[in-house]
Amino acid sequence: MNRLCDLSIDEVTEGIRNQHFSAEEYVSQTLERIAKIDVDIKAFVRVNTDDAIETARRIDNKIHKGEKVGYLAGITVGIKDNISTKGLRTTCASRILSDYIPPYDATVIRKLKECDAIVIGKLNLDEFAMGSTTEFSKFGPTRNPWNLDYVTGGSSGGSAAAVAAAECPASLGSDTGGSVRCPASFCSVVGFKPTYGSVSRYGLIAYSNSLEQVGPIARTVPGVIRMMNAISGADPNDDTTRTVNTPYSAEASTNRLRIGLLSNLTVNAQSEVSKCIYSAMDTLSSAGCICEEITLDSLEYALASYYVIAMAEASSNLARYDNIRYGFDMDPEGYEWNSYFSKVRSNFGEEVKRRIIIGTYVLSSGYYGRYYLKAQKVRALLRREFNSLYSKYDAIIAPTMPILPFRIGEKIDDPIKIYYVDIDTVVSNLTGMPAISVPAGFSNGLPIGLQIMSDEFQEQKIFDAALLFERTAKIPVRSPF
Amino acid sequence: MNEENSIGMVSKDEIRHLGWLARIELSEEEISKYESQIDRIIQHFDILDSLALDDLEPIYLKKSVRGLRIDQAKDFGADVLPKTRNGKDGYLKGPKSDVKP
Repeated sequence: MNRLCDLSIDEVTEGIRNQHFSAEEYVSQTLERIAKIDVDIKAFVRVNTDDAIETARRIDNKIHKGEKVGYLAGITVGIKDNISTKGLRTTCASRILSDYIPPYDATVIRKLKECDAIVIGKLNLDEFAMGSTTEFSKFGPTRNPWNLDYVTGGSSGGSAAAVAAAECPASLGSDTGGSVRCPASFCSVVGFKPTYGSVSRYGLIAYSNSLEQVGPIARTVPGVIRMMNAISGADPNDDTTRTVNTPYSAEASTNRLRIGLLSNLTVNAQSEVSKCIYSAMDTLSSAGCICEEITLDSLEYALASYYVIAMAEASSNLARYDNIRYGFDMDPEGYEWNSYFSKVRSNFGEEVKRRIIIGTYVLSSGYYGRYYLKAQKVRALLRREFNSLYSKYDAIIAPTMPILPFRIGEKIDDPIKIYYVDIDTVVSNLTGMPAISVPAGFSNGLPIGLQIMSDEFQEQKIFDAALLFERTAKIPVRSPF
Repeated sequence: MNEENSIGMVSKDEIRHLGWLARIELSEEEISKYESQIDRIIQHFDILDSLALDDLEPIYLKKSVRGLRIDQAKDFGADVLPKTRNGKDGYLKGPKSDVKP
């Protein structure tokens, strides 16, 4: 029999339902595996041991009694540590939230629990999800399972690494400018950024409200679809959500898909990446898709627009952290309010402080029109141009990342170099449109991801293209550990 | 601050002032480091100036106020304030607001 950790989501739920193994056995093996290999990978910042075992026993009891169990019964899911979990510490990898225990579950967590999924632990991230490498965490960097000296990508680095190393079959991340897709690409797993409004953000600790979405990571496209079927849909607690057309199907469509390859993003990528994406286009053509190359000049403005908006929203969102109700020990006795506030907030990490300062600058009187307003207009421009593309194409493809994974520490002193790695992913956040990263190959043992985008609320078109690619390209789904 | 500042001229004093506006105490070392980094980042943002965008309306989320949920306090059924830090007799201890810095 295979190791339980290598089983797909469907194999695990079937195995538990048919009593080939119990949920408790599965959870115990998962916990043993995390204890054994996470010493090297450092994906988990907190393991939910007791609660996970107790939940597994409850599921087993239901099965023994012949009661109905949920759609994800027994699936161990890792959760990015910026998604609120009731009673389980949620720190955003920041000192400023170091002892925060949420009194409620995020809607996505509630929905997973209703499906009998098991929260196995909390996963590392760049502090407050600001970063593209998972190096800006108070817990230190997570390591890429394919090469421990390399970054996982970020900011959901823990979520991608844990799935890649088969520490859990699925995880949740959040994607503000590529934070699910980037680490999915760097770790050779599937990561999905849903349409803005198709998954609730209630309980996601906000950094840039108009851009971010919670998104799933799994080893395969059907795994991501299973997770999306559990977490999608309208939520009265998030006014931006809408009813969506679920369940999504994991059966590849037989329609001939029209696919456009964004050549300006592909040509400008590192040569190994570029070659791999052109070969992915050939794979899709061989599977019956009608593929052609397209260019979009306004893409060159996307990165600046993204960072202006993200930093402006960050400076506003993070203004609330005062270290009074939760945080680290620093007695307010004897301090005046402003000086206490300024002193405790100096404990934000380097990248968070940098973004708050720049966000404050772009929103200041006199600069608002020059930066923020223009950034919002670029957003409108991109939306208009993509809308016109989607009248001709079902999906658009490009690299997820313009470069291969790089060494830990290599770019940490140069924020602009790190910001540039987001150049292919930010457009989906600016336009609100959905996008997926699927494994497309390796170069020198380092993973490359193919990005597939589509129009708002057209997640099924993305899944159709991704399923077709996954089944035709046959990139091996295996754990490096 | 005003728009008279030429591009790429974010001074140390400005960074210190931004730190004050954001209520983040910055060390001299941080201010020096951020000065050059932030200058370069802002210069990158100036690419937005080269686009003619007058015919475009910025994107804002539009939703009628009637469609919003009722803003009601929720009882989470748990003691949401930490018991050990800054809490006393059901109150929270915070810094004084009447003392000049």
